[in-house]
Amino acid sequence: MPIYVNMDVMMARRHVGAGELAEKVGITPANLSILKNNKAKAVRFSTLEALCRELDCQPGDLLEYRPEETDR
Amino acid sequence: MPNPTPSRSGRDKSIALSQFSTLCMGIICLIMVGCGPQLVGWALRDYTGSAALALLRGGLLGLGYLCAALAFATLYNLYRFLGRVQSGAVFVPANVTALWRISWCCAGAAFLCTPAGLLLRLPFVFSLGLCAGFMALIVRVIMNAFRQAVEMKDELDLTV
Repeated sequence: MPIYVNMDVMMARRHVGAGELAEKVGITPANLSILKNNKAKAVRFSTLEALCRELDCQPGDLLEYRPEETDR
Repeated sequence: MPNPTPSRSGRDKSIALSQFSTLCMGIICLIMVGCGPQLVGWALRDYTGSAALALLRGGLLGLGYLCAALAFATLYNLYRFLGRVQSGAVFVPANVTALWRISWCCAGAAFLCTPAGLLLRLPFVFSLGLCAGFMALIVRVIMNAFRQAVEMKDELDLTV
């Protein structure tokens, strides 16, 4: 999946722990871990909105597109 | 107006009944295997005086044993499938595999019975082969639906 979730950087900047953020956003720590480790296949707008609100950032600060390298 | 979706306990009872029926079918199959020669004799009671009767009897008995093996494999997979459904694991890859095996067992029975029915000139064996082929087709359609559902569930599980 060429979409990467850069949550660690934002969480470090805002000095927020994973457990605290999961509680504030209203998702389980297991789901936050799925998101942080780029295992998620989809993110709900409601989750993205809550993350942006709690981390005081824009969706673009959390999501990054890195094109996949193809062997030719 | 009655509720079309059964309650949890009703569903459990239905699955338990299906499992019980599967076990009963296994026992019936076992009895049929044990009484194979007698059953063949009963099925061929109208075929008298034919020189090829011994060959016909042997062929039908062998076919019956081969189909019994497929039936046991089908019932075993069905029983395991129902067990997983009862424990709440419905859309899992193991169920897709079970349906895949069941469909191949039915297809195997169709491949055996249809030509054998024609070759041995036994209409009921031929009909059985056609029914098995039809069943294989139905199970395959259900298997494909299950495969799609497993993929959708995987995606849903990873949606945050």
